[in-house]
Amino acid sequence: MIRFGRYPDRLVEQFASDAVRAALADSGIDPELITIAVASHSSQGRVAGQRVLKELALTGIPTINVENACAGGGTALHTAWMAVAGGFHDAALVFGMEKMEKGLIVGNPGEYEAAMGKTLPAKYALRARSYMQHYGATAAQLAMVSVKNHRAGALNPMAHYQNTMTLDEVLSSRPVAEPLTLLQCCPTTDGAAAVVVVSEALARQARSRPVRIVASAVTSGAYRNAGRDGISSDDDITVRAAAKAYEMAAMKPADVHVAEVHDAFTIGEILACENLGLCPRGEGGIWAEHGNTAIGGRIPVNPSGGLLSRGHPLGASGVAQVAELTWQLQGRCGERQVQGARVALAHVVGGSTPGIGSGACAVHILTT
Amino acid sequence: MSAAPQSQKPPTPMEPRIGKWEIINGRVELSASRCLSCGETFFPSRKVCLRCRGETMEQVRLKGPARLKNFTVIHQVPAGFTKPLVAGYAEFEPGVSVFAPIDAPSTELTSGSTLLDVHIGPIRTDKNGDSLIAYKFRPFRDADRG
Ligand SMILES: [Zn+2]
Repeated sequence: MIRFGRYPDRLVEQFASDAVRAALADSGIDPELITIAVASHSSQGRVAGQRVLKELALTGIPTINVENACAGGGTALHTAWMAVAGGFHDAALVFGMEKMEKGLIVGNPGEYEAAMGKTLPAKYALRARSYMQHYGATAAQLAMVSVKNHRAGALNPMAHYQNTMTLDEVLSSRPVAEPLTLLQCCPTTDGAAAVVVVSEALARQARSRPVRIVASAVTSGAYRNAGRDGISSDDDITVRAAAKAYEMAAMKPADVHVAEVHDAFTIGEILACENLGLCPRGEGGIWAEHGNTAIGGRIPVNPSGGLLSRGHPLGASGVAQVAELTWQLQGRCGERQVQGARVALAHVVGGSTPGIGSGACAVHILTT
Repeated sequence: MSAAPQSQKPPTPMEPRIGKWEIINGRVELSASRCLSCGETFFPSRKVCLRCRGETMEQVRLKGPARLKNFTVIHQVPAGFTKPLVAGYAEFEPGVSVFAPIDAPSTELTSGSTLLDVHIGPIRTDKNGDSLIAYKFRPFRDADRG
């Protein structure tokens, strides 16, 4: 991947091809062996994947462009995993990229809640209020997620924001949608990330020690009526993806040593940890407050700094998570290294549609 | 209190995607659909049930008072909206909730107990600065019903 940030003077083709070049070089896989590419982006225009690969003269191979909002990167990896695990291809290239517009992400035409003023931060704010009311979580517990992730991001040379911040700074930043303040919302960030997925036979040729994908699951939002079903669509989509992934890996949440989860907003990380089974239901806020999810804690979550600190170029985030976890499993993360990490979990979730909630979710489990 | 926008032109209703409403005896009723197979109710109304895929729906009307389920105050608002925007979900019957702006300061609202009524008022302005109207919520007062 490239360092995430703001690149007003660079084309997406330029910085995304840099990310692809870096991944290919790191993998040591001969580019000639790549027979399929999957590119994730949300608003980079038609055939953006092909436009990026043209920069590297990687032309002619089937290239699939994936749009799944914030879960696009994980969906692209899942697509490549199906191609390779299914035996159709030996080597696949996965990359995600986004050059973001400043400000709010505009809601989809055709969705009444967005038309009535419900923004993405408002969606998470409503989830936060409902969570706080139900479990007695505090505004400070939510804000601690941002403090923790910025502390980690300060150790990540790939992060957009590499500065720490105090609890008071997070809480006193301007409100975006109550109770979420500006520093509890992911920033506007450009970036790209890439990984190479190969068969076991080809993996033996890899230069860096490869990691294994032991589970890959994608789910879509399903209708849930929280009052009747006991769970909201937004929580259910992750619960189902996680259940699939744990079953595929023959693992349980307690087996995970490190996780990168969808923290576009602070409450998102808390709910993701609970929906993934990484901490008990209702205790996500307490776990953040007590440092259980910090590097060195019981289950380090977002050691990269997460979307809050690394930044969130929509289509790139899911791939950047997997780049980070690959480096974590390879023991290459320096000061932010999670000691003894042998099992890693990546989680992204995105989109918002009344009735089905979040549109897409991807969960991957990687091992050494 | 009438929330009609101050404009010479008649106010423009918002696009149909936000759902339909009718004013009956001075009171706003939202048009929803109920699945005859499983009983699930949807607003805006739809043709295929999201729960059971049933395609036989009956039209039902949702009217206040509805109970405030959850709300937020949005400070970074979409184009055309005035900030801060108080908005949230009102539950009209068990399991049937609608999202809309709320004409009340957040200090007057309590999730789970405040009763809300539906009225028609300005939601946002369009590109020309003209006001677009639709359903929204305000605290329910028995006196309003007279
Ligand atoms: Zn039904």
